[in-house]
Amino acid sequence: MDTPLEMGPGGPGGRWENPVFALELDMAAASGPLVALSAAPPRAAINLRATEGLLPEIERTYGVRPPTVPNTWTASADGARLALWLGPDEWLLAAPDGAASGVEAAIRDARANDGWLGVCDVSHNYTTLVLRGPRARLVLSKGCALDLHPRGPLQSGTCAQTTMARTRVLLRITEEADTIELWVRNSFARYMAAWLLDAMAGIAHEPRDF
Amino acid sequence: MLLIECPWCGPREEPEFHYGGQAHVARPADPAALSDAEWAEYVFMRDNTKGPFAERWCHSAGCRRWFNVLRDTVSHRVLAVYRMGEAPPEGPR
Amino acid sequence: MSDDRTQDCRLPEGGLIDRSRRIRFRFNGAWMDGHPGDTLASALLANGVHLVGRSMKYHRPRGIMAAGAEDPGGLVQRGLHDEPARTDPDWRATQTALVDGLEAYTVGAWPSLDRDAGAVLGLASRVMGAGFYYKIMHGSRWMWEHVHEPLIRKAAGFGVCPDQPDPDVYDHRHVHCEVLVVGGGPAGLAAAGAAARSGARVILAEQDERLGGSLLGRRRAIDGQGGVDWAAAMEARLRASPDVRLLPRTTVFGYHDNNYLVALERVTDHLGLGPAPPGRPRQRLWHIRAKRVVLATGAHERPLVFGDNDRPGIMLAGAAQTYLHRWAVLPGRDVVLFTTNDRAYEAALDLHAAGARIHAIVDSREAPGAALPAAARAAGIRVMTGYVVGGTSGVRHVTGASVMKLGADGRASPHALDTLPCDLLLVSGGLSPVVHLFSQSGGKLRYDDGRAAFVPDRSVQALANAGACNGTFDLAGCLAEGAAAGAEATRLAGSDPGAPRTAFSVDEPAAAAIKPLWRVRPALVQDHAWGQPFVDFQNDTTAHDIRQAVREGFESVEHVKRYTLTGFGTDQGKTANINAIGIQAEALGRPIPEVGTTTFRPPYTPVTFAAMAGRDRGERLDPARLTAIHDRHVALGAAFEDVGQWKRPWYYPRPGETMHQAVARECRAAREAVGVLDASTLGKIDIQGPDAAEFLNRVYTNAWSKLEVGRVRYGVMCREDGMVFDDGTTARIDDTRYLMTTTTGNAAAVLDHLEEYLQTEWPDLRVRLTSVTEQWATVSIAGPKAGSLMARLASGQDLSPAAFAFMSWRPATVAGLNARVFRISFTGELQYEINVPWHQGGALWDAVMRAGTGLGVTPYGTETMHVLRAEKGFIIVGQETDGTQTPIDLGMDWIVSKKKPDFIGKRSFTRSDTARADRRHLVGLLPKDKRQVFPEGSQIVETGATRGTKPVPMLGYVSSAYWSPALDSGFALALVAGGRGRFGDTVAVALPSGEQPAVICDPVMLDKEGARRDGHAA
Repeated sequence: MDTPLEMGPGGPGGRWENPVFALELDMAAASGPLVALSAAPPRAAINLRATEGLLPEIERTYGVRPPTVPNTWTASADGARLALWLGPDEWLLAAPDGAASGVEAAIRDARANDGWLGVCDVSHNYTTLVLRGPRARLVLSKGCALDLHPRGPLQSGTCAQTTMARTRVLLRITEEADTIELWVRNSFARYMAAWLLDAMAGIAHEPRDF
Repeated sequence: MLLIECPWCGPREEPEFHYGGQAHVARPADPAALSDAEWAEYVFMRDNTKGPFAERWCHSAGCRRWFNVLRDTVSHRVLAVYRMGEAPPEGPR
Repeated sequence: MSDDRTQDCRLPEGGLIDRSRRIRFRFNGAWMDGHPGDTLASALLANGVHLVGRSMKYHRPRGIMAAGAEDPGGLVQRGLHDEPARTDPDWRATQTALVDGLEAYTVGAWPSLDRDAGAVLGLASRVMGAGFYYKIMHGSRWMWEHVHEPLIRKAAGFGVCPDQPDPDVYDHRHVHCEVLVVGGGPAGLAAAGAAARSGARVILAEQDERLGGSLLGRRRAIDGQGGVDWAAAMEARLRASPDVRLLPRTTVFGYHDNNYLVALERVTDHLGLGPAPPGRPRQRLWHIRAKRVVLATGAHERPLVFGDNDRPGIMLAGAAQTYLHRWAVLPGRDVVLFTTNDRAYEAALDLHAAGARIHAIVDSREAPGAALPAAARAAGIRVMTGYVVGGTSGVRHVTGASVMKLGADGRASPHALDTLPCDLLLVSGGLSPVVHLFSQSGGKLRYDDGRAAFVPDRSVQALANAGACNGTFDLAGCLAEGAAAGAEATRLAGSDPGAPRTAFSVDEPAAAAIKPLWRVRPALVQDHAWGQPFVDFQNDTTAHDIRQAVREGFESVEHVKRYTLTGFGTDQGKTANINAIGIQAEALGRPIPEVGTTTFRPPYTPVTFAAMAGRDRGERLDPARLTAIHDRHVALGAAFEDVGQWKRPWYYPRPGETMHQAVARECRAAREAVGVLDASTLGKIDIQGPDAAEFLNRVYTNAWSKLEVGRVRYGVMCREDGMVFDDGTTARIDDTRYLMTTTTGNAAAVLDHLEEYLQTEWPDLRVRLTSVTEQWATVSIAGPKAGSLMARLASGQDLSPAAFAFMSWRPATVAGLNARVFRISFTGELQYEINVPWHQGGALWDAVMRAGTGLGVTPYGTETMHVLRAEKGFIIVGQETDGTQTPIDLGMDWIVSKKKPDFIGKRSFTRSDTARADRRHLVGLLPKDKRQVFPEGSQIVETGATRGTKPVPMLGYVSSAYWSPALDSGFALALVAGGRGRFGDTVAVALPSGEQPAVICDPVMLDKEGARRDGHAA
């Protein structure tokens, strides 16, 4: 009994059921010009473990040279493909939805005979929340101990794995320094969104950001 | 709460890390060759140092890398961090 | 309501208050007036109210003694009736901003402040001396439970806790800065001023709502500008600096490792106790990481220790000066000053100038300094040198001070007694630097003889002390030291402050050195005749208590502190500690440096739990981890169980069903039809690399080299001590790739454990690990009809037991989804675990439930899962194990490889203790009375042992126990000494109702031959 599935936009029964779907109305209501919270659309993600010597190979097949500077990310010219630094031999490749198996296979095939690597589809491991606006960093600073000062280390083009409230998170400071992605494990997504919604309440009354 | 300098990620708060106990205690190459007492020494016994102490930490909420920290157990000052396989910096251990 | 009080003690002009507006407030039910800018304490004093509380132990009347955080006695409860959910028993009157309608009550007085039943305890003070609590706790237990504890609880409390959830928001912020300045007095302002505009991020935190510190309570000029104006100008300059954050009403209460400081900002507290303005928190906790810290926390004046030195109307000299200048309050008209130093003379002079009558300045020194005593004499004030105040009179307010001559032996002689009338007795024992934060930071203190005070010595953190907290008590010195410290901190933090200005012109009278007087020593042997000489006013510790502790053999300052309670509680010894140490040193006959000082601990002033919790309350207390299928479980009415942070369905009760009935129904469905379990929470680790098999060989007890692609194997993981750490199945995905599963609660710990070995012990192994726990959602179907259900879900693919071997996996299309299907079984039934991408887990569940219609498909929860696996004797790590079981103890010798030369834990299996024959073994246990389900954890003993000699030898305990519908009996798994050799023996389970007989058996109780797992039974 192969049941054709509805292709709902993140809702129940869909091909990509969004863990924070139930909070989307709340997120929209809490969002404004100072800070806005939303869930990012589906995206492919591949965990890559490799040695630095393999990076030219990766760049040739994937189109992006993974960064060797810790806590930074690189992107393809069109911005569609990303490589985020996770560790000295570990990266997260983010690509358009559905690209995971192709990217994974291409990287495996391109592997040099003398090298070896780990490549693993983790597209469904994460939910990505997006916090944007001039007070986005202030909201984050209520639960994140990193230095979020606009002149601090977390500039556009950086990323950081850290803790936020009571869970772990991967932050990506996008091309715009006020737009920050929070990659959380799916099971924590609703907690994280609810926590952020609470922290966003009353943000207009905060006297000053940093 | 310590501020620990991850060799890759820079200074991060202690809750991002996982403590791994005394550093430079290598797993015996041939456990079967050891007496019960020698094996127990490896499994159960660690130094309890007052002053500079070499210990292992893992940046588990960050880059997941294990590394070594030389920490003063009196002042909690982190005196040095160095990567796995590297020798501790010169000076008292 | 009539005005009970008028502001009799308010001077007609002056003070930093807004006289254009009147504030009405209630204290113990009486309405009074004050002005904006007042604290509750200044308003009470303006209304002539000195009696504000009762002491903790003896219930003696107590008044306001200080003007700031150091006031030990003026604790009030706000909003007891008006705001029962917001009421707080720990407000210092000196730190409570006056607002309209403020409702404050004295804490600790019962039934009322004026008629306090507990004051009778004061008569019993001799039996409630040092170590009173220790002594009664070591006495009769009956007396403690029935007499002492109820009495003490009633009498000693500091107020009433709210009995409702706190309705307000408490915020947290993490912030980093280059320079944190703690304290907004002259030194702190100078420090922040020097650091401002250097580009460095500067935070200045001040507990008061107003910056200026001591400048607000003295008449001073800096560079020709009034001190108050100078502070205001400096504040304006700092506000205009873009990188300076000013935090007034913010108390830095904790100084932790590596310059991590915690501060409490009272964001809207000062607006009153009602609801905070919409969207605003009541308080905010700041987590500050500072590159450099400048501590400019000032000094506290210390009281003097003499008989009945605690009466309302006895006040620190500097506090009276502050009430006069800052709030235009004259706290008394007939004044006596008792001092050991010059500085306090200024208070008498200022009060004299304000119209008070100074009856005498009683100075314990024979030779005071020059300038201030001369000024006092010139003002016509009687100065008595070489005299002390030995006792006081009055009940609810001081009425007189007994002045005595200090003899050459250092003892006060009562024969020279001269009683001076007064309604205000000012005292000054000199200044104590506020070293609390420095001490918390790990800094060491040094006793400075010249200042007669503990001052900062060696520091272990990146900090500097400036001003009075550093023992620099003169204003010019404070400003210069502050500016230099601020500039230096900025430079060390990497910014250029420019050349700081460190010379300030200040008009301040010169003060001669202090000569400390730790207590007035009576000439008579009978100390008590002179009344109680209090040292710690909050904890009611007297000089007698400290001397008694020394007599009883206590020598360490830390022990005396605990025995006498000195420096305990919310006060943390702000005014008490130094006098206590001085008295202890005298009693021990040792110099103060040899006695040393105690360690100060956070918080500096009390912090509510709500502030510490911040936003992590209610549903946000701890993350609830939800599976992709969670909402379906909620819709089905599931009861949930917490497994680690996961919410797992426990059972799915139908309307009217008890848990027992629901679980029995779910068990029968899985054994007779098909049950469905959400198994998504199991940890999953992707393992890749040419050495992956070798890695598995080293971390698991069994052998992995021969596992073929497409096959699955169960493994047990031990630590080096040989004890079981985790278990689960691992599947071979391709030549160099495996997928490991871990137990739900251990997923992160297992990944850490594996990474640790890879990175630290075997960096040569070419293996990479990635957590994929949440890449996959897992629906497990089990039961004799699981095959039929699988066929419906994966049409056109033969996943029948005949074609799809047990302990193997394969990719399949299930309900149109790309899936990995595993044929493994934790129930003993034919079972499939279907894994699909997480975001499609809900869709898979829906499809399984739809396809199962007509097959009796039944969702089951963790309770049923536990029953089903226990019937098969399958362990659960953490249930059958507690970190002291080897695989052999669990009867799993078959999984311990004899051929592999080494793996984690192997060597420990042959340690003499691990190899003992009488270790506890995993066994089954069947109750003789079938209806019985033993409580988990029940002790197992030999039959009749509970009637024999005590202690009763313990054979073991029940690790799991359930009702089994399949066996129609209660049953248990247990760990029993030498249990594998005792199958068939009857033992006793010791319950409160008596011994219950049970028979030891094989832990596998159902389908020993394993026919059901291929769908052949039933």
